Amino acid sequence: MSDLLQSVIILLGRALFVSMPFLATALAMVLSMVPVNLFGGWVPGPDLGIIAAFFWAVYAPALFPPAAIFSLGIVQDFCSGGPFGFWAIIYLAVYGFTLSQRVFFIGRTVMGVWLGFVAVGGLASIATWLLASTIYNRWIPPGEIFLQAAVTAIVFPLIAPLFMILRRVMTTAPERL
Amino acid sequence: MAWDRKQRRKLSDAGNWAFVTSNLSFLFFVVLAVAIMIASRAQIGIFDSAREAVNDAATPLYELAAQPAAMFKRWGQGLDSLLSVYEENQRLREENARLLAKQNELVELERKVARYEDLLKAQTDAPVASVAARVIADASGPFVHTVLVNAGHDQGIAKGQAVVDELGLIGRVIASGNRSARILLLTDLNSRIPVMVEGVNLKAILTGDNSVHPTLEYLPAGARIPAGARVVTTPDGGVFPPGIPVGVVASDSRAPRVNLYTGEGRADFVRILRYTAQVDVNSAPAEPLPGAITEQPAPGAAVAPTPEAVVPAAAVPTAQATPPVHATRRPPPKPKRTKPANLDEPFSPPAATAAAAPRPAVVQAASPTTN
Repeated sequence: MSDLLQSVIILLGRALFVSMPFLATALAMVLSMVPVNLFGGWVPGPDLGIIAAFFWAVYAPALFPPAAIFSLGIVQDFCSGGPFGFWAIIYLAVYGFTLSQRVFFIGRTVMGVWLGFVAVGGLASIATWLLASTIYNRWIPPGEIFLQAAVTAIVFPLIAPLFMILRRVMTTAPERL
Repeated sequence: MAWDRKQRRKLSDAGNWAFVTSNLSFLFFVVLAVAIMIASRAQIGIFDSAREAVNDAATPLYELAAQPAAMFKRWGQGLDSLLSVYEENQRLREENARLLAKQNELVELERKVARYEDLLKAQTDAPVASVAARVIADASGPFVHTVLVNAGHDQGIAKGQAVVDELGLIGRVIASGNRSARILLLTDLNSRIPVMVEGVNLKAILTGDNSVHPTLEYLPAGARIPAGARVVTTPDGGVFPPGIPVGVVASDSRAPRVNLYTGEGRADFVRILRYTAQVDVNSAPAEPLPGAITEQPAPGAAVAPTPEAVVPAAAVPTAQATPPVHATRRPPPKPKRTKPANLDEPFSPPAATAAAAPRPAVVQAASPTTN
C-alpha cells in the first residue's frame, strides 16, 4: 500500500513538474484579470496566451504540447466572456504557425525573435478580428484588437525572460530538448 | 545544438507543414476547439453553467488577488490627492457653494412635486432593493467588455438585473453563479439597453460597439437629438427600473453617441438593482385609478405596455406609432410572452410604444437597503 502511495505521489509530482509552464501561464492569465484599471481601464491588458504560444513553440515545444495550448485557450475562454473555443483556436493557430516557421526563429537574436513575435502577433490579431466578426456576424471594430496586439508586443520582452527562466528550470541542458 | 541542426534539416526536408502530419495531437485539438465553438454557439447551456461554476470556484482567488490591487490603487489615488490637495480644495469649495444654492431650489421643487402627486393621486415608484458587490475581476477581452462581481444567486442576483455605480448605469447581469455574477458593460458589442432621451422624450436603444461612447439606435426617422440631452433607462421590457441615469448625448447627429456618466474608469464597487417587474402581456389592463389620466400609462406601473394598452404617442414623434385600439372590442390576444424579454437576443423595437412622460430617477428614490 505504501509502495502504491509512493508511486502515486511520484507520478503526481512528475505531472505537476511537467505541467509547470502551463500552470504558471494559466495562473498569470487569471491574475491578469485583477481590475487594476490601467490608463483609466480603456487600454486592454496583454494577451499572455499569445506570448506563451509563440515562446514555447520556438524554444521548447516539448514542454508545452498542443494539449497545453488548447487548455490555455479554454482557460482564457472561461475567464473572458467570449464564445467557447475561440481563444483555443487562436492560440493553436499561433502555436501551429510558429512551429511551422520555427526553423527561422531558432538561433535569432532577441531583437529578431521580438520582430518575429510582432509579425505573428499582427497575424494573430487579424485572425482574431476575422474570426470574431464571423462569429458575431458583423464587422467588429478592430481598434481594440490591434491595440491589445501592440500592448502584447510591448510586454513580450518582459514576459519572455520569465519563460526562459522557467525553461532553464525545466531542463538545465538545452541540447536535450 | 545538435538537436537544432538535426531538427532543422528534418523540417526543411519535409516542408514547413511537416509538423501537421507528424503531430496528430495538434490536429485533434484544433478539431476539438472548433467543435466546442460550434457547440457553444448552438446555445448548449452546459458551457455557460460550467463557466459560472468555474467562476464561483475561482471567486476566492479573484477576491484574494483584487485586494492588493485595490490597495495599490487607493495608494495611487491618495498620492494624486496629496499632490493636488490645494486645487481640489478650491474646486470643492466652489462646488459646495453651487450645491448649496441648488439645494434651496431642490427643496422647493420636491415640495411642488409632492403636491402635484397628491393632487393627481399618482402612484409613486416602489423602492428598488439593491445588493452591493465588489468588482473582483475585469473579465474583458478585445471584443468583450464584462466584469465579475462577488455576488450571485445566494444574494438574490439574477440574469437581466441592472447594475449601477455611484454615477449611473454601468450594465446588466448576463450570468449568475451562486457567489459570482458576470456584468455586461454598456460598451460591450452585445449590449442593448432601452433608453429614453429626456427633453425630446424619444425612446431609443443604447447600443454598445466596443467604443467608449455607445450609440443611440432605432430613433425615429429624421429625429434630431440635441447634444447634451440626458439619457435615462426606460422600463420597456420590464427589466430596468425607469429613470436610471445613463449619460448625455455627445453629438448632435443622425447616429448620436452618448457620453456615459460612469466615465472612462471602471468602478470598484457596484450596486445590483433587484428590480422584479414581470412582463405579462396577457394580463388585463389595470383598472384606472380614480382621477388618473387614462390616456397615459399609469405612473409607477413598471411593466411594458400591453398590446391593448398601446396608445398613439401624441407627445412623442414616434414614426411607428399606430392608431389607438380598444381592448373591449378585440378578442383576447394569443399568448406571446410571459417573462422578461431575453436581452441576449438582438433587440427589435416594438411596433408602437406608449408615450411615457419623463419621470424622476428611481435611483434617487431607491431604498438604501443593502444586503
